[in-house]
Amino acid sequence: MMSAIRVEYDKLVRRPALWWSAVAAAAMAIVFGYVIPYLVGTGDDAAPTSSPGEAGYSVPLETLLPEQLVENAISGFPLFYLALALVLGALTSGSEYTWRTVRSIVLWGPGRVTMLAAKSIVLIVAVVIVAVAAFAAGAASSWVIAIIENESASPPPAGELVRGLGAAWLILAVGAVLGLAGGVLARSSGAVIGAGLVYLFVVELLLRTFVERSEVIEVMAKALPGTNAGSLAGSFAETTQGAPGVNDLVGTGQAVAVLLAWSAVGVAVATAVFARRDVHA
Amino acid sequence: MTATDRPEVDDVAISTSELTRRFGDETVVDSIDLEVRTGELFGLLGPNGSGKSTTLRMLTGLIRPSSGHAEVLGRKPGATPRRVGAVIEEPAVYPYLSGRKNLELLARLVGAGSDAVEEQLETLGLTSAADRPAGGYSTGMRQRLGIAAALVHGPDLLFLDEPSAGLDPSGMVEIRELLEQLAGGSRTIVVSSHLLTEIDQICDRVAVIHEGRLVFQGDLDELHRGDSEELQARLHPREAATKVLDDLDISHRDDGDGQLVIDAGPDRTPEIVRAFVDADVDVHEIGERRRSLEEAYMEVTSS
Repeated sequence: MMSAIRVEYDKLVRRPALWWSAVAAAAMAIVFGYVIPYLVGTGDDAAPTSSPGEAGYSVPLETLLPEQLVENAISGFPLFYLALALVLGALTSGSEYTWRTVRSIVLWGPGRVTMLAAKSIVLIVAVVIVAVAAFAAGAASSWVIAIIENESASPPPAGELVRGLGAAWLILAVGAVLGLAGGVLARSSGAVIGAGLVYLFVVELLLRTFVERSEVIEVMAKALPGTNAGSLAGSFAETTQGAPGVNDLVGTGQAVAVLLAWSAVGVAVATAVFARRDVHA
Repeated sequence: MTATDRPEVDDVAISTSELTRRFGDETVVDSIDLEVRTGELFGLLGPNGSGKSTTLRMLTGLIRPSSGHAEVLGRKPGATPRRVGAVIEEPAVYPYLSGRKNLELLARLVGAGSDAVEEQLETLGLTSAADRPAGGYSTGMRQRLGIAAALVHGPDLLFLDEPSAGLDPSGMVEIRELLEQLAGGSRTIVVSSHLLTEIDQICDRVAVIHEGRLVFQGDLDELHRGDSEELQARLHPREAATKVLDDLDISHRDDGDGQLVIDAGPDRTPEIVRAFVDADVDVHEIGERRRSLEEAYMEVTSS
């Protein structure tokens, strides 16, 4: 198992896609979390009552300061960074089929289940890099704004930071594992990335708009990974409400449980399929 | 094959019994009984789409048979990864990793050391390109890297599917020489190819697969000889030689290459040679007729 983990680690850390994901997460954190809100306008008592782009939109300056780093940074995870992790997961497994290297894994690996377990473990650990990149970029941006505005640069409480990073990691892990499972099922990454992005950005968001009109849809929505990721992010502060994908449909406990369940389902499905299916690549 | 020359069980590297693979309604490999002996360089011949690659995939454990049974090195296929090396169809590489890193990863999986990696890079002529990303390798270099990966752990059994694919003539010669060098001892090599000359030059025994069925299995010489009993002779003068054969009531024909094909078995060789000598015909060469592999292949696949 350790040799398989080392091989999968070597493959992933040398893969540009991992580092591009981290760069993209950092860039999104800076641009959408700080630069655009700051340029659009801040006010002492303004609240994000209108949507970005609408006249009169402004955000309270305090939400852009280091003390509210966690609330600000986590708001991008239920949608944008979840999608990023899904793409990374799909690339990690799907490319093995595209490059036909899945044959090498099956031929010389210590076993199909072991190899997939190693790949899942390494991927789940590696997405921490993406979470840290987003938080670090957010921290740097908020510190710059604090200096410019001559405001307090006090960091958020350590406990909250750890809890925020943990939540971000869990959200990314779910996305990565579902992407990995999709890559195994589809034996490619392209189709999974396309379908996954449509699902996250269209299907789940649309479904949530009908939650108040149908109990059936509400029950369905409350079981979906995006909804629970959104509720987990939403649990940090009211200021995160209104960000794309963030919601308050379920409690924090349920959100964590459902996200863990989705991770387990993703790993189980991928392992079952990989262990049994013929390798034609 | 008779009971006396059948190999002992330990001498059999691969055996299959009614090995079959269906994809939907299509039977791609149909009840193949294959036997490959330890230490031989075995050729799997057949046109594209005949079922060779599917057979190799079953023997390496990449796909499962629909029915039938296969044993590789005494275990079920795929159960002895450290003793088996394989290049199935196109070699698989991680394009963003260097050739050396590709080999190192596989070496780690099978427990081989860095010395083995360097040795294979050297053997396959990849040392100078070893630190370049494998994605930029030419087809021939990828093929070499694939073979290096298959050899990095010193396997007892090597499967090579179309090893010369994408190689230029000098590359093909190099691969052929490498295979001859690797063969022998206890290492068994199974080479699948649709290139008859390649198989003819390197293999000891062959199996011919046609439309999923095994239509021949045996020594290459046996395939060359075939069932028909014919002699081939280089004689002078030609007219006198044909008259001798006409007098003996033996039919004959020109092989188109300056030799005469005589419709008689090897047991009649002394009688025929005596008749030629009596008629002052110079016998430069006479022996059992060896068909070209192309002729033999066409015959076994059309019957």
